[in-house]
Amino acid sequence: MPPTRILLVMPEHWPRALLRAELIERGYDVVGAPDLATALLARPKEKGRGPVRAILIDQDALVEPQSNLLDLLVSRYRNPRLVLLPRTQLKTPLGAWDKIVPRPALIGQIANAVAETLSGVQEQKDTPRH
Amino acid sequence: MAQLEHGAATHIGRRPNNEDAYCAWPELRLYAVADGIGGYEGGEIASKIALDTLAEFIGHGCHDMDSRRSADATERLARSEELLVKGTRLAHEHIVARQVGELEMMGSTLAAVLVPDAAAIVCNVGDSRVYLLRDGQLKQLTRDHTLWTEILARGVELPKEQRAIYANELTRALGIDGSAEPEITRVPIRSGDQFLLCTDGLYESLSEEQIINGLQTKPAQEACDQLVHQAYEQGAVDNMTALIVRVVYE
Repeated sequence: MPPTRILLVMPEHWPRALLRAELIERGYDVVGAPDLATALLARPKEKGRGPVRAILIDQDALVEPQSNLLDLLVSRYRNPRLVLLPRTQLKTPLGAWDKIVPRPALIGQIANAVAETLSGVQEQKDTPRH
Repeated sequence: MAQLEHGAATHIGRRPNNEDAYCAWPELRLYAVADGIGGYEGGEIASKIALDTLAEFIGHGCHDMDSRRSADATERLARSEELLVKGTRLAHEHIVARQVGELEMMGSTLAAVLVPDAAAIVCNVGDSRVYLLRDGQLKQLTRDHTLWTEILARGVELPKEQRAIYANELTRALGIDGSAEPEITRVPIRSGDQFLLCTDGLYESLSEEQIINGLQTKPAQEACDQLVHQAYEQGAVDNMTALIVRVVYE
């Protein structure tokens, strides 16, 4: 069975690359994107790849009007787990966040948070969330 | 009841095989095109399953409706719409049931028109389109289910040069779980109306003016042949299909 796919939406290249490497090391399949529009290009169904079960979003990617694409992203991957990496100075954006990882956070801590939201997801993968 | 005339043509374009398909069942007053996705062989199997399933389901449903002719026009229309929606969902299920091994990724778009009475019911999943030509004006009746369309609808503008990338990504298709719900539109029909059902290979290669000119050619079969030929001559790479339905009141 192909590994679970995780989508990282983070504008900054280096933190995204480091987090991607960390999650790949833990056995996940990880796709990185700098913004929501680019993230949408990851196909929900790809030969030899597992479904997208979690999306980590850096609040810096939720700028107007791109933030309007969040609902499209969530519906495209059939309600994946959502993890937010917020900006401390900004109000937490509305969303069905499963986990919010406050900054400052180490790469390992962010990876732990994503992994925690995924525990048990495999069993309930076809159960719609409300 | 309105008389319907139709014509249809499909062309492989510059691809190794043709994954497009069309069907015309005048006895059911059902017309549809489908564009298969999923690579060699898979796509053409998916588009065929989609059309065969839809026709069979609506065929059974129409026989049932024949025994209820006394129902009023509004009820018949509502029932026809229900048939189209359920037939499309069933087509999706039949494709999913065959997604094994090499066919794992197959899927299909669908654009269909059912004309039970004085209105046409238009249905689509994916980016195959239905146009209406009325009084010389061409109107797109369907909404493309692509990332490009969805992103624009949310007020986000992307650079035009990225259009091809996003327009090629479907947000709905038969065979893709969770995204196969059909979108339905009802259109009251008039004498002289022309419906053009087509796949993206055709409309991506022709301008609106060329489509209008093509539709004014008679008869319908000749018009379809001309549209497909012109698209090919203009360099179309993708498979292309055109199906025209003309409304003629006697």
